[in-house]
Amino acid sequence: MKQQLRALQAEFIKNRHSKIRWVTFAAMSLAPLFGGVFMLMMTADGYEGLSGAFKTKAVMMSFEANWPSFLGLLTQAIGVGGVLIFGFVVSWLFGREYADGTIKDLLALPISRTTILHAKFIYYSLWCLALALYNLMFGLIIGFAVQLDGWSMPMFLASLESYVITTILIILLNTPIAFFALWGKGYLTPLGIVAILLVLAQVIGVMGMGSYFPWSVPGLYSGSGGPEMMAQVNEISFGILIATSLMGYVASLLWWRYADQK
Amino acid sequence: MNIIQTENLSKYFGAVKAVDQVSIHVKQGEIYGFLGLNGAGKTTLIRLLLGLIKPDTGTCMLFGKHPKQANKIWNNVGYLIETPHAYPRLSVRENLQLICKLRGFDDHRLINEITDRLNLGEYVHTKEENLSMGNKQRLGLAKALIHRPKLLLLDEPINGLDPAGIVEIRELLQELSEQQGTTIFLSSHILSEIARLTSRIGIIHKGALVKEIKSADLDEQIIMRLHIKTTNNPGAIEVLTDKGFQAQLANDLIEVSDSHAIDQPETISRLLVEQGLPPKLIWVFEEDLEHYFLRIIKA
Repeated sequence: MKQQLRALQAEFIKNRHSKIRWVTFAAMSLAPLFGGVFMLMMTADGYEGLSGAFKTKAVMMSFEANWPSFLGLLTQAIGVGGVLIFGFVVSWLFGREYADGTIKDLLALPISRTTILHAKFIYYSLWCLALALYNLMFGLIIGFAVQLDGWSMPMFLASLESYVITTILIILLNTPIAFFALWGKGYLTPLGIVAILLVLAQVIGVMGMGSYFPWSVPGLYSGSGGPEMMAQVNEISFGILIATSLMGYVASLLWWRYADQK
Repeated sequence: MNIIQTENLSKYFGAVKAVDQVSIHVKQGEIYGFLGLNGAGKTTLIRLLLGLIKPDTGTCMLFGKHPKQANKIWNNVGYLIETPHAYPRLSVRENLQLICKLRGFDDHRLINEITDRLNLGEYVHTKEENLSMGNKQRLGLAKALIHRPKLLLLDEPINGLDPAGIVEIRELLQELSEQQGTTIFLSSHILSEIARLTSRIGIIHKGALVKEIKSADLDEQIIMRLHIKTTNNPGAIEVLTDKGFQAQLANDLIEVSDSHAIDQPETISRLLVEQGLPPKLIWVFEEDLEHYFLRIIKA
């Protein structure tokens, strides 16, 4: 436990001056900001205040200028945007040492490689949770600033449950990306994989098979595909997602421990 | 006790024999120099010793034990492999803090001690990305030395250092070996530096250990010849041969390999003058380390 704590503290030192951290928080600001603008436009003229794809989407999703719709939007931002942003975080954390050439400093130590890998997973989870919390808090500030209707604590808690579960699903889903960072010895390979998975998640989602494709599940669960698609998510979907996560974790662990580090 | 012991250690990357049946024994306090061309297998051997890659055949032991991951043995080992990378956005102090954290030390005096020792004191708050090449190398050495290891594995430790820095590091390593009994295994392609610093030299070529020699015996291995040029080289060779010298023509020069001739070239000069074949040129050729090295690997 003491070693785990030391490895985690080392992760905090490594990321002390990281610019990437602020980039991810800036990216996470976009959904609350644009969501707020979206809500303001609808507050004035309803759907008529919107145009083009925005209007189509709003009508399809039955969006209204109120708190339930706005909190749903924030959840969808995590469910879809999180795949990209959390994927970016995991690619950076697990691939950076290969890119920096510092990987050799982590491999011949009195501390186990597993402990170091766990520290990375913990730091990654904390980073993603902080992003999710920031997205929510910033959203709440925007929501109150534009004076949305329909606030109630039960409604908020119900939305929060969906928000938290979506966040956890996305966090779990990135263990295979961590493996690709280790296997690809850098952050470009996993970023490429994230991009491919994002496209596949959309295509497979549209084909109606999204509930069986792990990277579509969080988006569908968050409601980004509409209530019908959300209803397709079932125990099997969660089971596939958790199995994918476990496989990613085990593959990362085995690779990190046993593969040659040239 | 052998601090480093490898027996028939081999590592192949596809058809390439990166390390081929290498057996090395390095004793405590010894400075062992590992010499080879680029790509000869020096770095691969150090990676094998550190457990970063696994051998295909053979064994490797440090301090008499097979090194395993997460073993306390690693706090007795300091290492620097190839380019001394560090976290670019972290300062010198933060990079060293990180190493201390991973090695289980919290004594900040260690950081002050090593930065002072390696003349990094004025750069402790400078980010690694802003350091000069030489100071990056010093930071790499600081990371290897900060925990006062009993064994140092250094891959090209003087790369990027200026002449003053090279002398400084050489003195530091000699001091560690002589005063603290630190065993040092260092690889380099700079022969003169290896010869000055080490007590024993291993020459590796195409993955195989082709020669091991004590640095003190190096002089005996260096070829010396007396080179002569006259207006009639065949005639001069005949004269010298008649007098019992081993002389032969090589590239328009007469080469005499007898130690008596090499020690007293004036005798040869007088002999040739007396025979009407005065030398146009005469000098003692001494093989330098580069030639010695190339001769060994070609053999």
